[in-house]
Amino acid sequence: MELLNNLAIGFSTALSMTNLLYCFFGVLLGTLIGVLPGLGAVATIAMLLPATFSLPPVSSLIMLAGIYYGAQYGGSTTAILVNLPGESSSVVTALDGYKMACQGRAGAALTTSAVGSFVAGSLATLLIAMFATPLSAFALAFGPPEYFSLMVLGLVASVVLAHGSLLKAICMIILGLLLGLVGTDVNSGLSRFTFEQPQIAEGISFVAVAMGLFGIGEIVRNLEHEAGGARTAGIPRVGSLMPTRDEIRRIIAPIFRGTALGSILGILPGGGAMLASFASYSLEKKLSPHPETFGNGAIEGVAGPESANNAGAQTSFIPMLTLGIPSNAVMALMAGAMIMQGIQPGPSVMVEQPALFWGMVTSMWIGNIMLVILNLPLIGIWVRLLAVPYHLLFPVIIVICGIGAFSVSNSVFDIHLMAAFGVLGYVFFKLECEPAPLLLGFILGPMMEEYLRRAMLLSRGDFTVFLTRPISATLLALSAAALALVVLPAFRKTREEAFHEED
Amino acid sequence: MKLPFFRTSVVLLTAAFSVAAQADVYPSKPITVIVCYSPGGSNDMIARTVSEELSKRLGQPVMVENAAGAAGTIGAAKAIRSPADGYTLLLGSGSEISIAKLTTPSVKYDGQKDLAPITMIGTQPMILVGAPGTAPKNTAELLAYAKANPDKLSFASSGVGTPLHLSGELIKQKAKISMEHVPYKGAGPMLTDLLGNQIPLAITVLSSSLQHVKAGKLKAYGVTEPRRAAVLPDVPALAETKGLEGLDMSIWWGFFAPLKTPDAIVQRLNKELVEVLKTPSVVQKLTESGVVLSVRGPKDFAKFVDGETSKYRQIVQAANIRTE
Repeated sequence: MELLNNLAIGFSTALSMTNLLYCFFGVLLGTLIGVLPGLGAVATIAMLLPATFSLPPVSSLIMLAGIYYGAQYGGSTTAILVNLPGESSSVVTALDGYKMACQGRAGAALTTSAVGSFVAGSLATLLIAMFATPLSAFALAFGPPEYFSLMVLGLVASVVLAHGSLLKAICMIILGLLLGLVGTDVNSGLSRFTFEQPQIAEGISFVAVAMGLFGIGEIVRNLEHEAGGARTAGIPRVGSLMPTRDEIRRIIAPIFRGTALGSILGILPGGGAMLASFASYSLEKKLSPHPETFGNGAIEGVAGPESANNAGAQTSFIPMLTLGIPSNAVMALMAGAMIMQGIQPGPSVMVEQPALFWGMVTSMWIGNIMLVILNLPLIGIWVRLLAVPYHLLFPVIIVICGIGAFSVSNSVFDIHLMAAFGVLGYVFFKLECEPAPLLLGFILGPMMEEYLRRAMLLSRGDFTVFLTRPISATLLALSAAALALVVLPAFRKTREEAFHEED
Repeated sequence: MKLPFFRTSVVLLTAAFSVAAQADVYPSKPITVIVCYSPGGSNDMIARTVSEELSKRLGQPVMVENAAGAAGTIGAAKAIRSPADGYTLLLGSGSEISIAKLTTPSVKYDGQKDLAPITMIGTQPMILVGAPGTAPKNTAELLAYAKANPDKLSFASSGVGTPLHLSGELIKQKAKISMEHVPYKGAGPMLTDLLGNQIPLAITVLSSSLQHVKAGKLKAYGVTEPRRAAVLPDVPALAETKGLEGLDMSIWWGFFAPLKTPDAIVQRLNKELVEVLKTPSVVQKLTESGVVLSVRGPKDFAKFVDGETSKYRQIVQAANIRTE
């Protein structure tokens, strides 16, 4: 009964004309930036933050949230059509989605991704409404040792998932870890690898690294083909949007599994949408009777991760809305937007501002409906956006990337950094090294260090703390098992075969 | 045919004169306020709230520029290097103005000497809070517990060399107890661990833990200012406890200008800022976000900064805090 009451308050807020408009504007912008590679939700929200200062709090939050989950939809469109993940969380979608597109099944892949995202988005919204309070209590059971072990698992999973050479994947992770260590050490306050450059005293900008490696690197790579005259149209035909009956049968279970996995991982700080999509992919591959089809156009490899990343994106609002604790960079910006409006994110928001809390929750569901409409019938428009001649598109993308890199901390240095990482991204491509593990190492490395040292400080240097706490011990055992699997000759062979066929 | 030409020249001439005339009157072009932290934080919020109203009074746009990085020192250094013409101002706080120079050898500027204080805006107390499972009920019990169990307690702060960390060190120094300092990156992760009983104590800015204290989810031991906070009248000041008498630490904010900014401009800005800080909407917005207004003019503000800096110097030297 209380749930119905709450939802009624929410709908009456979210369905007002103004809020519907802001919601639409948010998801439209989100889809757009999701489609355009190199410009992420973090950069866009950061750019728009000052502009929301004069809007009513509910409207600005509805719009910003729309950008975030809208980007998850848009990001998968480019991942599937041109093998260019617009968002880091759609990196996995590109693996099988693009292969499907090459086989003429782009339409089915897009539908799967949109429907999966919609189902996941709706269920996750319902989940937020029902379990916001109890779920936030679960996240509190995670202390520094648990986070550390979770991240170990995340890194091990990314090695298992990496394309091609295992050695190269590990090297890329380590390179990412090293890059992540640049900046001020939280525990001692001393700076590392900064060469007395104040611009990197707080670390290398994540946006510069991500845009450089994925955005600029990709452009350089594409231009090389164009110069050689060998660049084809690049965009496969969308084909029929309807999946075959067999495909529908195959995607149902992965969508629900992905939703469940994504919902859980989204609540945990740090992982969010990206970890959710990686985890779902490996889960689907494990459960599939035909693991060899993965990386070769398996529709389950699109359905699972796409549902997981959208569910993760939605549930990552839970710790922010209920506890005032942002679980990732986007949520930190959202919390910032609330503070700018004079609302302190925290447990009392739900009680003192029910219209704001429930209005935002229900707007997510409305936004998800809008996204399905925007992304399926209108897919042609987004595809046309990609069909713009590359020599017209790439300068625009470079400018947008430049603005994005600059706007995060108003630093020209970050633009130079992005350019440098663009060159690096191209070199990696030539060396057949995947940049995704590097990015994961870059994000998780410093966090792991922070949690490891914090766990050590709190346990007064006692290492057994990782094994005596049940959740931590379980996570470490899972990591060990995953690692053992990779080392086992039998599995290693199938893994190499699976990735070999992909190339 | 001649008339339009004549008119145009008159218009042009008038325009030229008015530009010349405006150049003498401050302000004749937009003013930039440098904020040393990213958008969304309290410094940014204060700067934006005040700028909006200041812009109305000065008749020129006042724009906020976020120059974040290196614990606020990038923005402060940028303001110091800017032309001293009154068109670049700095919204400064204790960290980058007073503490940075004391703890970080690579910081070249001196917030006390290289900037002209304009107007102090106010302060915000910090608060010593305990996790739900932390046993001692009040500060006196906490100190006794710490003495009986040396090296058992840890306290969280949002980083080495922050006012929060310094407050913790001051509590240790005054009460002669030992506690392990566990630095976090910002208030969010710190509160997660505190609410989940992962760490027994934390020092936070009052506004970050206010909701949790009011909801009864965190134990509030005391605020770091000598008087109780109006929003939490039941929570004592730490200075009320025996052993911590005279403890007085706060986060503070104020406007600064590059050192050689003409005095007339500083006085003008101070006059306008004092008025801005009386505007009901500004007062309401600042108070709601936890700022306790404490408006001081250039001379008083300079004296305040001197006092704070020497207080921090003692703590930093006694605890040997060094960052780079």
